[in-house]
Amino acid sequence: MGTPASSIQCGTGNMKTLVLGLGNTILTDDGVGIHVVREASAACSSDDVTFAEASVGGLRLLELLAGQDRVIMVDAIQTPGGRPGDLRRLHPNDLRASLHAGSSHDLSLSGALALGRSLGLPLPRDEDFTILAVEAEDVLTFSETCTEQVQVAIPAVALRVLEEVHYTASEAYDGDGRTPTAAVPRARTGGGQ
Amino acid sequence: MQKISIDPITRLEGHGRVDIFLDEAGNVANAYLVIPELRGFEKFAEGRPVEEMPRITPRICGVCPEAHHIASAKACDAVYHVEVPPAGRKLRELLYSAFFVADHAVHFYILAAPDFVLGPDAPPAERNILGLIHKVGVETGRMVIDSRGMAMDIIGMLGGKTIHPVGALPGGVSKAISEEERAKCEAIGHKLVEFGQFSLQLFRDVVLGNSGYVDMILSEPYTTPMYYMGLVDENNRVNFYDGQVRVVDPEGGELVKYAPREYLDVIAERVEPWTYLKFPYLKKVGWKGFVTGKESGVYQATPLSRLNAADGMATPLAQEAYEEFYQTLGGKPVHRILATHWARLIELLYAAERAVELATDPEITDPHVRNIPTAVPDEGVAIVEAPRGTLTHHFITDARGIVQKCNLIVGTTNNYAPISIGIKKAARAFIKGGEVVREGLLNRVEMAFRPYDPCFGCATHSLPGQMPLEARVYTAAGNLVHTLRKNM
Repeated sequence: MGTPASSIQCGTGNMKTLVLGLGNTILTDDGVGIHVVREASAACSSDDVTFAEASVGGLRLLELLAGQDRVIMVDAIQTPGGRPGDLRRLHPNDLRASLHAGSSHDLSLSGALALGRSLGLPLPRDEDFTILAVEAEDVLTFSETCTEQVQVAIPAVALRVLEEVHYTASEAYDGDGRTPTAAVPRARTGGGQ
Repeated sequence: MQKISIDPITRLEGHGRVDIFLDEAGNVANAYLVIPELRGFEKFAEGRPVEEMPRITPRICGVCPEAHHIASAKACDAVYHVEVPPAGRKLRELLYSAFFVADHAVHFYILAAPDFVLGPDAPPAERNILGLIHKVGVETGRMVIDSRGMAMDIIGMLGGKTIHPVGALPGGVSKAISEEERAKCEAIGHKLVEFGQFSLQLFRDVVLGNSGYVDMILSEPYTTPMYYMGLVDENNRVNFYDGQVRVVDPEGGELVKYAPREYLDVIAERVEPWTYLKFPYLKKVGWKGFVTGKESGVYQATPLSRLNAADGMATPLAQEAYEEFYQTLGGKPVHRILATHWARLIELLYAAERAVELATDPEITDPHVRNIPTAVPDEGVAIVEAPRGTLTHHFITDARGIVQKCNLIVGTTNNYAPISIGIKKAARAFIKGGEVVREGLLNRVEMAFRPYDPCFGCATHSLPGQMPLEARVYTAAGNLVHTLRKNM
């Protein structure tokens, strides 16, 4: 009888961390953030880390972020010339323009953070706020599955999420004495930070 | 022909784009709002059990999921020919009233108020909620957040979740409320009424007390007489949850009042080759192009149109505010599109008062909140007022209740033609003779459609990866001669 081939422990150094998948799972690639976080959460358990998913922005998002020391947000992005499936690592300041642009009826992420801070809400610092943005191909068609290139990227992005959360992979051998789990490769990035 | 683009639109969804086409003389020939459309919903819905629609359609809109939730639940009631018990209906309407307060508050304070409080020509870096708080005080900001939060508490209590509520089912709602929950809703309702009154007073002080703003509200570029649509109760008072749809003409006379199932007899859709969007219009009057007036079937569905289409508000404080509104603006109907922001606050106050009425209704804690459907399902239409316009859900099912066809007309869809007309009109007044477009000018054009609070692909939550807002001016030969940037 073997033991699990590997288990992953998450350690965050006592920082209360929120891993948040944002998106809409019925709009094709717009749901990639949620799919990624679901996959990451299945491989990680920790008292310091909360995995959540949401389909909101602006003020509603602010309510989820308040009280966290650290946030890792996963979302879809569309950029000129971007390749579907590519990953960018961003911070809220990289979305500077969206203080005015962004959601139709609500604040953008940057605007929500700025508002929250001005009202004294406990929010993570910008340097403790990481956005993993996956380039999307289609966010306008109703479908519950992602396009192929985005779908294929999900596992690697999930691993990247876990790296961001500072996981460690513990090695174990099953009853057959198989080699331990190999080191986790970095996810493919698209030229961002 | 020269082209000026506003892309993406300030404070609106990044997927939208405004193209303003100039003629050889540098005057505006035409202006269009070009927006991508969410595709394939009908195909997506086909084959699904209709009772899933109250959980699916909220995902179409990340901002007003409650509107779709309630509209789909009501459509399911119609599909199954089931009547909702009084307590179930009142709980749905209480949730809906709280939602309207939250939604209208966000639009006014985040999107509209900065223009008035800071001024439309203020630097973009200040013309936002932070600038607003800086000017009127942190306490106002707190009140907005807290009031919205309290309204969301009601939604969470009655809807099961604050985001994408699940409480409404075919035939009623999933659970009754306890006396403790009822009391909490009542207490919140009173606070929301205070918030509504505060907001209206702020509007009076900051906007009506400023003659420049009043002149702007009354100015010709923002005046577009057209037909007005809104849901009314049996006394022709504004109602967001139920009733008949009333349409009045530019002089205020009733054109038609129809039940949801009759909507296809009243509304047709115009297809234009340059956009996916279809432009609804009134069949009886006909499509005459992107023009307004009594001869054109273009209509709007907004807070302003709801007040215009009704004979009054059903709650006392909102009725006082309604009377003040029309007295100040010279009678009914009001054609000043910027007055929509004021109408929105009157609706906010009504929604808060209505929440108190419902929370203090003795029937609201009755345990019988749902009638289980027993009839064979077939077809149903339901209409509610979403904050940004009349929302129609229409489902056709087979005998097992599996969706065969569906048609949704979302709030903003009603306003596609008026928005285009408004942009054109505002652009003509502020862009003339090849004059270089200043930042403030572009914002004035956007002010023409911001009152409509349009939804463009709101269900998408992708990060805005595009460049900062850019306006491009092309010569008639198509050469780029000038680039303007906003919000840098």
